[in-house]
Amino acid sequence: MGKKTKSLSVLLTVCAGAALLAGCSGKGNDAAGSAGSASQPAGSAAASSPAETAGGDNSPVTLSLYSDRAWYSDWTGPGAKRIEQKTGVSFTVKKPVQDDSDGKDIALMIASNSLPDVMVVDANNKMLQQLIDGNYLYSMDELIDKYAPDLRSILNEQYGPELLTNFKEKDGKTYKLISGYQTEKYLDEAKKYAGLAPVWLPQLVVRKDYYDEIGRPDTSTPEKFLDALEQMAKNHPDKIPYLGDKSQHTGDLSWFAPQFGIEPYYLDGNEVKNTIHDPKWKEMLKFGYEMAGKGLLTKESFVNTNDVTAQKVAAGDSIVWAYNSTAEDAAPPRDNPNTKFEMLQPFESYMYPTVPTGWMALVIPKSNKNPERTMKLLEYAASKEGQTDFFLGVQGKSADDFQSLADGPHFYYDSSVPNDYFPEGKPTYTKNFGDALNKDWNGTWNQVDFGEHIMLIDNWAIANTVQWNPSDEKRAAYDKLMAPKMKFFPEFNFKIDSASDLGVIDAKLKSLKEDYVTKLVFASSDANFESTFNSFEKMADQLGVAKLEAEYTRQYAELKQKLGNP
Amino acid sequence: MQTFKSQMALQLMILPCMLFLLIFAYVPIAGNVIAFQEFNLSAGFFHSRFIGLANFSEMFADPSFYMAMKNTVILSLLNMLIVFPAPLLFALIINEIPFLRFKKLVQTSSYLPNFISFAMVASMWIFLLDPKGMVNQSLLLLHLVKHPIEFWTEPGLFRPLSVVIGIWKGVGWGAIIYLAAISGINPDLYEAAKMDGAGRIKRIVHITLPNLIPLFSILFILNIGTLFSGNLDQSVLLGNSFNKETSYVIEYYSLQMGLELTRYSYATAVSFFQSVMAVLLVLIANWFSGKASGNRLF
Repeated sequence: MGKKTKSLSVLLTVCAGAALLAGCSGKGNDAAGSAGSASQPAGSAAASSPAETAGGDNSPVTLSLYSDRAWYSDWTGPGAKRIEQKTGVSFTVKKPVQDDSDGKDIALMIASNSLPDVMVVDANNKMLQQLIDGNYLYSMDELIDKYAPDLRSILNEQYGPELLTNFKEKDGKTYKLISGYQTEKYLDEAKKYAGLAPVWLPQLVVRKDYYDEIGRPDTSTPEKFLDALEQMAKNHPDKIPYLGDKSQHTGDLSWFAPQFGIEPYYLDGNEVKNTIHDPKWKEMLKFGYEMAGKGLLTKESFVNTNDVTAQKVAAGDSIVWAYNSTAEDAAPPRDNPNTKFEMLQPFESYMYPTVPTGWMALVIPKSNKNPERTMKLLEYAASKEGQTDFFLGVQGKSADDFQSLADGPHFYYDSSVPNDYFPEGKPTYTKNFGDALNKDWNGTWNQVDFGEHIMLIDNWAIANTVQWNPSDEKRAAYDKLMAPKMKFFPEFNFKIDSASDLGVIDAKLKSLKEDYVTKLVFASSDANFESTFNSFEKMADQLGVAKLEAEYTRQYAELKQKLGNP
Repeated sequence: MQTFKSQMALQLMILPCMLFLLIFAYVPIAGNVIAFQEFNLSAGFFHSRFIGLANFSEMFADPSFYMAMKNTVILSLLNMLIVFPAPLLFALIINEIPFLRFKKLVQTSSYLPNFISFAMVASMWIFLLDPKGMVNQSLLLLHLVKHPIEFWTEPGLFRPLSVVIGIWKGVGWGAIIYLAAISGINPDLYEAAKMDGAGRIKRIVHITLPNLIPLFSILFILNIGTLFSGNLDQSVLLGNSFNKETSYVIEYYSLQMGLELTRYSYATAVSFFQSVMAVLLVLIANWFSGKASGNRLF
């Protein structure tokens, strides 16, 4: 081997080794805090005057942001650019390929000491509590007082005081800003504009042609529904009588739960019990058993993925479909293009329970390089101006003022509809933009890149207002029907640490339910159903459900007191 | 030493690979320490509470662990007995195809399933074997069955289906290594056998197979270490509450009871147990193979 060859080999080796070590080296995320970042140590920056919002110091600064949602934007679209121009703040975004509610990414970030400047994660992310307990986060109260005093009044007045009271930790401090929390103020607004009941509430959807055939009977009780379904199945024996997917049925028959008005927990006097002890839960299982016994509920609904179910429904293979009110706009089944799907009357006992926990949580780790600019940005983002920029886009003059998807007007103020937030009138999508959304919802949102994709904090009372249309008779009728059937249970917002003994009991109970629900639904006889149910209850007791229920009861009493309802 | 010095440049070239192995394969082994701790992310490896064998006691007391372990071992044994030798058989068949174009077509089409993600594979098989799917419709048309077979909800069918899907997905890819080995066999041996009047079968039995045994043995030793590892893809995507008693494998258990509950120590204890068993099995298989055929991995 020649000297030159040897030297070349050594050089190659060194390069390969260096490349390897480079891969193992630190994050090297020098984007964060670059480009003119003030890079001040935490807490060292002097507080600015309240008037100096994001519009004051808008020198360029790049912050790092982590979101556990795969849909989160890269902060590169026209919406993000408009906000950057106004505030000087841009983000380098890190997000998973698939949503990561388990917090695996956050665990890695903690382990490698590489938390970003800002985190916008699912409000139920399992690692959020560890971040709080591990003292990795700034307290919002502290940052608000120091850098963004106006934010407190914005949150209290425009969102509702619950954001800064209902999420206090044991030390009395609030560490997360929650978006999508159903505050009283939001509920009032939603009711006012016929926007309380979401279109996705679980419903039983029927093919209109088959329902017409049997004379459109009343289906508002389980018995009446079964009778109607049985008749339709008799007329069309080649069809699957009822079809849903496994996420709707495995484990808890969750699709039927609202029809039976099952609450998240069963209140027995002052004691809070698991739903397995709720007589309504057993009644629902019995209903499933009766359906299966008559051949109306098949195993497919416990096995199929939603894609498989959607294809079968589109092919016209099913009679009743586990879906929601939007089915009425779906394409007709292929075997009869002249029919459509329609929502059946919900059972009289229908109640959709919500334990308000919020949708997304924004937290600021102590690794944040520029808390002052971050809080100024938040103050702006939370304000009406910020909410408009983030969620409504560009303002036009009238309903027809629309140029292009990327940078043209997206909304206008409709002065004919009064609005509590905007004296100019209700923000409404321009007609062409609304049409573009109706044509291709996801594609259009991606193109304009504003809205939830770059959210920091979301005031649903503003962001949703563009979609609320009280003059839409169909929508108003739906809200009139469903809104009274929605019930909120903030007193059931229990925290069970998944890694604790109680968390393990909870997980094992969930697994046990998955095993037993199918056994119960497909039981061979009434006696078999009863003996299987007894055996299930016995197994659940052996797992230690009583301990779990004691903890529910304890937290329930605490929450009731906290919520001012002892 | 003299040789080492003269090969210094070449020896140095292996250094990055050694470093790679050291950093990414050996150093992380130390992380298994959390199997004996109540690991807390904030406290880290050094300050988390030591709890000895508590995680292992809990694991061995959990009936779900035994169900998962039983399924894992049974599915692995089926894989080892049926799926593992299938590529060898397939390679022998392909090698005997006289028409080059047809041979290439068979080879290429058999590799393709290997490149399809299991999510796609699972959807495809779910559709095929659906009560309204192609297989059931064909069986009904041919009057071979009166009612559609519920392939995915019958616990007894999960294992055979797992084997069929395993063969379909991996047989072509697995055969490559055997085809490469077959092409390395001295053609003179075949010529001589032909002149001695040996037919195709005799040539396979007396020349091809004996030449493939060392490779087969090495692959078998490596494969036996997977006896305590299940196929998470199959378990998650094809498993359901009806066939759970046969489809639930140890990886799924580890995922649910460990990672989903953020019980990292417990998940590590489960995987540590699997690793120890795998090492033991490889050692035993290596010793046995050495005794039986003289072929050892190390």
